[in-house]
Amino acid sequence: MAALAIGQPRGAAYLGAQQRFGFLLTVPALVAYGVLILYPFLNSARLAFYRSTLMAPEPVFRGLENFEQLFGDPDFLLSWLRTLVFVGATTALTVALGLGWAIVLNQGFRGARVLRSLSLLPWVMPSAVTALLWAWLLHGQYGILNAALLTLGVLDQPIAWLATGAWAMAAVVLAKTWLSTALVMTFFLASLQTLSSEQVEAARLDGAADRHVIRYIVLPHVRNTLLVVLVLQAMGNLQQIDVIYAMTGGGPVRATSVLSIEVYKTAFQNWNLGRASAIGVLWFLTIAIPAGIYLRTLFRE
Amino acid sequence: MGNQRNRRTGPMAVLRHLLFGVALVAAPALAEDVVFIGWSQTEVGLKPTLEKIFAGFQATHPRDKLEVIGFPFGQMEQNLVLRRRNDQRMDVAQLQERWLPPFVAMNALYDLNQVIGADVLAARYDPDLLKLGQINGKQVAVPFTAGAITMVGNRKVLDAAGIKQPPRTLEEFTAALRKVKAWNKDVIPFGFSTKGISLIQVESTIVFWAFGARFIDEQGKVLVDSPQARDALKYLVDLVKEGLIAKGNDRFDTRKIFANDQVAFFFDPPVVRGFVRAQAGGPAADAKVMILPVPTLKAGDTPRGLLWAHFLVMFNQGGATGARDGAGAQLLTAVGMDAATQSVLWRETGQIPTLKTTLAEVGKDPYIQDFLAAAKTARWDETTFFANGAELRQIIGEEVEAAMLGGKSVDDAIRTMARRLDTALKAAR
Repeated sequence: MAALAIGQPRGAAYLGAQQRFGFLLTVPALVAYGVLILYPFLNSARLAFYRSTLMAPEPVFRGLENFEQLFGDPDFLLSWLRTLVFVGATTALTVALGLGWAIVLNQGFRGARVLRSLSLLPWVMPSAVTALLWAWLLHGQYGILNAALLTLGVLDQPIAWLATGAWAMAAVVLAKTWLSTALVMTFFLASLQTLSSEQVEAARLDGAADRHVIRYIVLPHVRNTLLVVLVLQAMGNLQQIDVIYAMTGGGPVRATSVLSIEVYKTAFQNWNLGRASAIGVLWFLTIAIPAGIYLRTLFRE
Repeated sequence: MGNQRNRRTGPMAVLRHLLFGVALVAAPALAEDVVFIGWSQTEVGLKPTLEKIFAGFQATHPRDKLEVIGFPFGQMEQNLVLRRRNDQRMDVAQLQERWLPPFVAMNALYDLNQVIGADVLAARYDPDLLKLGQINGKQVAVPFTAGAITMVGNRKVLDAAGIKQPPRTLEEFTAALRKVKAWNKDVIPFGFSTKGISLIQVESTIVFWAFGARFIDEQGKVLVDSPQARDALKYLVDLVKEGLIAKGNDRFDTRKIFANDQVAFFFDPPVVRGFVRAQAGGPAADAKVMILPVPTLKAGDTPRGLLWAHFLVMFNQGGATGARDGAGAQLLTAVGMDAATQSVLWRETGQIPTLKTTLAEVGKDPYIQDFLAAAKTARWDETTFFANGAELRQIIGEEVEAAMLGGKSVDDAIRTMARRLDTALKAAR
């Protein structure tokens, strides 16, 4: 710190000291990153090349064996596809509903603030509770959805929603969407509140309908927020495990078994750490693409 | 870990041991932390009783600090393995019979003949029951409760549906299921699990055996690609198609529905009565629980349930000691080997006792008699003694689930099951 005292000449020595000090400030964060993230990640990446089970005393190097087995396993390739379906559907639905809801709440009608606070409830709730609530709503025997549809005469016998592949996937998409829409809405609402009301009024005076206002004023205004939210949501949904595991456990018949569930089951049900690590590496590469786009966007801004 | 500690035999260590020995003689046993890990104390049927038992142990051992850790049954095995890997303390733990071989392979368990004493164990247990916890000549576990997973019927539902005689053959069983459905379409005739891979595997094993099918032999040869296995799976698939098995329930759901008289038949071990009591208003609900033999393919065939046992073991890690007068051994004795405790568990939860004296006291009870009769002809799960049994069970469960929920044809599911089992068994060699 003495090197930074007022009155010191601003030369190369000063800049060097400043850089060293700056580096020192990052050391605690770097240590935490190295211990908690980098080391486990590198160790996991290393294990992907080993035959390693939780029962075995020592891992055995097997080169690309785990990856070859994964690419030869049609179930694994399907789980990759399911991951893309889950991420695509959940992200699109969350962003669309979040934006729509933000536009509604931005109208400033009476009660909008109360409604905005209430909208955050799903986001505040623990995700496991959300999952169990949805599982209960959709239960084949006791579920409220079946009860309502049977009462209205839409169904003549109950449907086991979570025991049918397509419905189970739709259910986990809806549950995750319900959980995340509030957060996405707050991003868009913050962006919309910087939109000039004069601009909108001028457009309306020129005869613009609601759809024109949204298309030519609102969407261009929230464009950057939209991109960031899309990427963040895609990354979050790629990492999603708790809602899916609590609702369906990856079933029925692996219909909702996305990559996160595959890693968990392979590591902690089949005890195959090497193969789970290989799935983890492929999963990381899948996440790295949207993450790269996000970081580029962030740095450009 | 225990071996590593024993290797520390320098002069100071010897002196420490001598001083420790003198202290043991001169003073009562030193206070210890003691950790119990199980799942039963988290379940509605057994929770109040086991909490009383743990409180009783703490009251009689005020110097020892008892920590009780509970995990749901479905997460118990992985938590035990992870604690083993991290050398976290586990003095006494509750294990299912199929989890014993992997922990024995990891050399994680004390030989209870050494800790408790072979003479003490022989005095308290019937040799056949004691044998259940023996592997490679070591007594690695003592049975906490044992019996069989067999057919359970709801007397109230069956009477109302006009089923006078319990079905003995699969043909009679199917007819009974149809009768239940015709009587009340809201009642599930057969509460077979279609959710939860491990439960599907267990329950389908019983049905496969009824058809004379096998999955794997003792040498690891895959036998499931057979006409009997196809018949068994087709039977289950047809029951789903006919609406006699409901989609989307596991055994835990079914127990609740059964207690509310909405299920006619399902497979369950002896803990069923505790769950029904807890859900349906105490011992008055006992009368509705009928323990039945598994229906057979032909009249006169031997009914085959699945042998089922919960064990208590002592882990040798994280500071857990194997001393006979240590807190771990005391806890194991208090929870699992005390006649009064087993009587309370039986009276309050219906848990079948395993000690000679308790069995002599209550063994005439028809409920115990029915389960013991089922256990006589029951078999161990074929995957139990393979170190990668968890993977094998997952394969069987997934393929049966796929066929039952319409994701695969019966033939495809059986062929895929055989191929995957073969690959997994070869990879583990």
